[in-house]
Amino acid sequence: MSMSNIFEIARSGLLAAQKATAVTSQNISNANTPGFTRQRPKLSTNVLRSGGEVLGQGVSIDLVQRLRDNLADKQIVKKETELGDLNEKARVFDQLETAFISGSEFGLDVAVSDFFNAFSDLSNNPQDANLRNILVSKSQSMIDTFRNVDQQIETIGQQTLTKATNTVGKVNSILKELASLNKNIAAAEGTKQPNQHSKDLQMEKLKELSELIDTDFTTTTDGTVEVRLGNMVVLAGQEASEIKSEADAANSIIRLRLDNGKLLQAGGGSLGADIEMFEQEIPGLLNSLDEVAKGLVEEVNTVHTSGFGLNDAVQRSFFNPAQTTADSIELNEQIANQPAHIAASSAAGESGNNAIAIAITQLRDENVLNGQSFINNIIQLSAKPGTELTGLQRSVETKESAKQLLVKQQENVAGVNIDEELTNMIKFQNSYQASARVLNNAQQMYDTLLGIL
Amino acid sequence: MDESLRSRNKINQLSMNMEHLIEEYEEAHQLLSDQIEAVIYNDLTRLNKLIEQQLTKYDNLEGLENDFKQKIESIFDDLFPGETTHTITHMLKKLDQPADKLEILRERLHKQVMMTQKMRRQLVDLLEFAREHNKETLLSIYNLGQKDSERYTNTGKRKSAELTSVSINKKA
Repeated sequence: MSMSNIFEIARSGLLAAQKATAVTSQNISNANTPGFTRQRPKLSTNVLRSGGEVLGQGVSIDLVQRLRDNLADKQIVKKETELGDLNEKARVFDQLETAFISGSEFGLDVAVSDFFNAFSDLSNNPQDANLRNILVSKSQSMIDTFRNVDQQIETIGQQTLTKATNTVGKVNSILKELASLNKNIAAAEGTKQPNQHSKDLQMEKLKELSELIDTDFTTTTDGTVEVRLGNMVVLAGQEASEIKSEADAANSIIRLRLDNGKLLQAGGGSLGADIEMFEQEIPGLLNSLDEVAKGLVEEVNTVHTSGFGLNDAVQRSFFNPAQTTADSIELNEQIANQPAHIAASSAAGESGNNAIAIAITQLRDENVLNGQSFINNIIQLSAKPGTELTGLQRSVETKESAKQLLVKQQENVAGVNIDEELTNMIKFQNSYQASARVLNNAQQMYDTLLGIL
Repeated sequence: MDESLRSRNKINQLSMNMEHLIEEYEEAHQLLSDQIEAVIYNDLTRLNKLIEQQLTKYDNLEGLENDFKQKIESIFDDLFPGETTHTITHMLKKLDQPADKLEILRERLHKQVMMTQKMRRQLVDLLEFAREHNKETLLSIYNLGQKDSERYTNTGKRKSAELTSVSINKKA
């Protein structure tokens, strides 16, 4: 190879780098301009022909840049799905946390505690009519709180279902837009004048879609995209499928069905999150709440039906034994109408006997349900949404950082030398590993200090 | 020296040590936050500098923590011999005199350590992602230049699979 060729390659490399910097500056200054299309300097191969010889390079930096962009795009789309899923779950758990309002005067744990305290007060003076009235009042407050919490959770469930249905509509709308973009892009490729604006819009729409549902896509040679949801092709060329949502509220199921009749799995994104919350988390909380209500009804009734009220020798249940869920729990009508029938005594005709009242009070601290007391069960249940929310918020922060990293990588213009690019990537890899090693070695230190505090 | 005076001195020194630990953990927290930013912005120079600073910071913290632990042991040996649980929380329960300052410092230090731990976890997760993504990209670029990696032009001709930045005289 002649020296002049070597210098020419070096000079063209410098010129290309200068041009790349100019393009980057233009990108940055116009970044917020609506509709501005991000441009890349095209660093394709230069080929010299001399006396029949062809002097040319191999794979161009342009191809490497495209590869990196494509990989980053795929990862960004994946992050959008993950973030869509996490943010939506966080939103619903935030609402569920409010439903319990534990620890305040309106909390269920406080209401149950007040109920047992009222029985404790009655045990000190079983004949006191006022204390009996207060017990009935506190029991009714507790029942109202159970029903209120249950109703709030049910309402959140309904809202989640409505949101999922609306999201399906959005997904269909985006698929139609992508189909239209496919048409524009294919037409432009055919005239050898690529429509960069449509391509950028296409990527924005794919990101929007992936936030809603787990999306997989392939870009074809003419720049159009084929989109798969749940491993099923929903968009190819200008043909977009339509998705319908079918809700089975009684069984807490949401199905997604394509127009060819096949069922589709959302997999992730905000739609996947709503389906998961509607089908699993919300019913789980309602079941746990019902379990506490049922436990309370059965345990209190078991003791109460062995006792006697003030005026007769009839043994009665305290709660209606046929109603054992959080939304149906109710006082025995005879107790509600006549507090004198509350059984404080273990023997008929002994008005000063408080054995049953004491026994019911003691239920407060006994581990009668899932190895814990009623109140601890409720506290654990009430804490669940908040605990999940904290975990989700941490994950969101991590995923957001990863997404920002990918976006920044795409904004960096590649150099003109593949060797330099690969060397940089290896240097980064080494630094990442070094940093991770330093951090891992320090974990012990945090644990030790927290143990001493 | 009077026993109680000596104990008070030790508790004062413990308080100073805790204040110092809080400052160091605040700086450690900032270092971690800066590293996250350096990773996101692909700033290799800054990242390497911060890693070095992090190493120095952890050395300092380790020294302070050992000192902290020794002071607590010494106070328990003097004031509460026979006690097996040597923690600040336990000490606060056992102390006769009011120890509001110590309680406040304990809470502040606990909070700062938790925040720093959280930031550390975030950085660890980000680094893991960055490494995997980098690795995947390197492998993909490497595969471009493999003979087995077939590529074609849109007219159907096979494309060269060479991955090189050096001009080659093909005829030679």
